[in-house]
Amino acid sequence: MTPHIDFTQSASRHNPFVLPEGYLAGVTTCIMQRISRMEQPDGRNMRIVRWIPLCGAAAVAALFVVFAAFTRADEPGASLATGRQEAITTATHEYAEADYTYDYFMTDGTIAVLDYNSNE
Amino acid sequence: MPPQNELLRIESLRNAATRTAAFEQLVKEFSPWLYMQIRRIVQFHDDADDVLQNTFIKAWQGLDAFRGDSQLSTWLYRIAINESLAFLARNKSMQSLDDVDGEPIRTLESDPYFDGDATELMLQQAIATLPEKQRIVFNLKYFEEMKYEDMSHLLGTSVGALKASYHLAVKKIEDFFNAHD
Repeated sequence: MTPHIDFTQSASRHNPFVLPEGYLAGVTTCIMQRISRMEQPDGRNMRIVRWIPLCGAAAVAALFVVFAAFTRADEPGASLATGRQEAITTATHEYAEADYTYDYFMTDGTIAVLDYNSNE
Repeated sequence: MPPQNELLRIESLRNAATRTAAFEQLVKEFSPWLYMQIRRIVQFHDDADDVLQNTFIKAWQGLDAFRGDSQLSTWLYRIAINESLAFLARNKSMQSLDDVDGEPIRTLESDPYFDGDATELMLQQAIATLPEKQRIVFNLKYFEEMKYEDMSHLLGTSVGALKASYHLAVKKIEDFFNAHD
């Protein structure tokens, strides 16, 4: 037997949906807590966000240094400067050897030229 | 023009110093009514709980955008309806995935917060088969006994269209009952 429903009936109808006991008080608290959490800035994220510009600046600076080093190595004057540096290094090394020789012979580094033609 | 106490409430909600307290009062006042409207659409308590919370969160986020053209209750109801429909759309896609996985689909009989007899259960099953707009119109007219004029203002639909929706819904529900005879 099909149950009959009068759709024109205007009397209040039984509500089959049950509201769990204490639900409304709980849901108000829950909603307000969610809103409170939403309103608080996330401290951890803020710390990370604060570091982002510094990290970016450091990365750019590092890239600039690397780029500049490569650019200078390619410049024509760079080989001349490098050659000059090598010459200075070689000369310094030779002077060091000479000093060692002078020390060995216990001389003062001046070369005495014996003039055999002199009467002295 | 909203009544004086409504204007005072809107003012409290706009004021940063009083906003939280005023909103908490709003939640307390409108939760029972909104819960029941949402529950009639989504049917299960757990789902109604999720949708109700999301409704108030959306309302909080949209407080600055509320111009006061309509009453707060109308504004909240529209958010609740939109959230309920969005939930149903998400649920529909999830349910099709559940079918693939072979997981059992929830039924109203197993819901501990449904206290209806066989007729009420069948009525809810019939309502669940209705298109969303017809379901909303039927719930408002049949359960809330809302006037078409008020419903028109609430849903932004003409009275004629609402009457047509309700009669179509009634016809489909009668057909559902006849089919399950």
